[in-house]
Amino acid sequence: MSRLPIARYLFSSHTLFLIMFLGAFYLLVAVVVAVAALATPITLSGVDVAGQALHWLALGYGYSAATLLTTMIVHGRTRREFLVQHPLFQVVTSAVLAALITGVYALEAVVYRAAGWTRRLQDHRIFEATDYPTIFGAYWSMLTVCLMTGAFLGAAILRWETAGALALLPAAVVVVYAGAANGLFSLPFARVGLDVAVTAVMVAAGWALLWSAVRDMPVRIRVPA
Amino acid sequence: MITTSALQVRYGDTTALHPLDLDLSAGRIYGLLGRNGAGKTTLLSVLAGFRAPSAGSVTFDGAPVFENAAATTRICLIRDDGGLGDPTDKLTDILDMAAILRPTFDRAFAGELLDRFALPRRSTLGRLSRGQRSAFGVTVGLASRAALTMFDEAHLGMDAAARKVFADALLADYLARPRTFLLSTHLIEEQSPLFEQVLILHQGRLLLREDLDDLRGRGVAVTGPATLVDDFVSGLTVLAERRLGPTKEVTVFGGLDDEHRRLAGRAGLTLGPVAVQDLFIHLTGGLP
Repeated sequence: MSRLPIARYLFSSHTLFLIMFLGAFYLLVAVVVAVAALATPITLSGVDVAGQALHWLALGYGYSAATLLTTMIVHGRTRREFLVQHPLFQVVTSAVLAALITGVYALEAVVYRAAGWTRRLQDHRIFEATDYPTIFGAYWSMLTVCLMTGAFLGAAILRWETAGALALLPAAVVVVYAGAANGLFSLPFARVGLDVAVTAVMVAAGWALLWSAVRDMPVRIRVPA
Repeated sequence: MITTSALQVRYGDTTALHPLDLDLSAGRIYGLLGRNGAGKTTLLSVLAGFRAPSAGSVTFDGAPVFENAAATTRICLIRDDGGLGDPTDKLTDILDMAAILRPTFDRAFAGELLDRFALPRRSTLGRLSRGQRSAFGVTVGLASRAALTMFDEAHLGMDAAARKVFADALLADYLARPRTFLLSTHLIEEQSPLFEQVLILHQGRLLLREDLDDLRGRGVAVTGPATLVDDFVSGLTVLAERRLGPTKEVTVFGGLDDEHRRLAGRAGLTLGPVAVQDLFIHLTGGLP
């Protein structure tokens, strides 16, 4: 029996699912870019433009963690285990996905060069097109923060129902401030450049919020009709 | 096995469970009865660690249950409202997950039960009918092989045949691997033969705890010609009456003394065991 059963389950199923999802996502991006190339000259990085959707997808996926917690408790696990093992899954899976995204940036560079297309990133990015370590760091930061914050939002709304919507306020602070650090959710007034310390503090803040919602949350189950 | 001490659960200003001291020993099948809102689901939830007590404690083999994986992995509660997995998950995937999460889970036995309930292995949870979902819940509960397995109205929506499979499987597995079951149900007559001991909760308090045979001894069913039965039960506490042509069966609360038994014998009346449901209705305040 694994010492980390929740993490083991998540790595064996959810991480694989997310990798496949991301693969399908970039396949779709490739198709869209190819079709666009028939009509207009390509000047922007398709991978970079599509990256704008990833933090929303990560938030949405993180949101589902609250339902997952209920399932874990029904199968005999505890909130405390979940609060340790789900963040572990988030950090590791975010790293895997960030590495995959970085690889896609590199692949795109080769394809654009071969096709003779111009490849420009969005202005607010904190990395250059070939600065792969920073690309990896920025996406890892963004994915981890969004997964954690989404999990907090889901837990807050499951626990406090309508009043849980108030959780949007601290969640927004975490996402926007961390976004200022990784440049992937960047607002004009908040841009600090990739900062590991800021990311770490925001992930810790997200975890603290998640802990406050989950630590003694009663199990409420909703079944589809 | 599992013990509560001054256990209390409140929802805001409402007290769902008044201070409760309970000790359930290992290796028995308990029936938990109560009217709607009696506190059955609340009690089961707190026993399983699904929620924290408002006051008092729940311990399993001496250790607190809430947030203690050593205890919660040995306790399984299957409720009628799901939570076993995501609606998009395949049944086999949920069973594989359960095998990872619960050390005692018997994956092979779960597969057998899927076949016995004729559940489609490749189906997703969300595509199952209400009765099939209940059967799947029962599958997970029995295959958990948890030292304390509780079913809260887990049979809802199951047809008679599926409920029979459930009862047979539970009994067979209990005999093969003795452990503790706690069954909460409104199907009292159908499920009471499974019970060794009955607990009745009423308005958040434990109203009664008795072995099934002793509970049945609290009443007598008197059957015979209607006029003779009516004369015989005059002055006794009548719980229920059924009539079929000239024959009448009356359920009487309380044991009969020797004089009454002699009278019944002389009048040719038949004395039989009482329906637990009739006793339950009487003990919890009668018909509305």
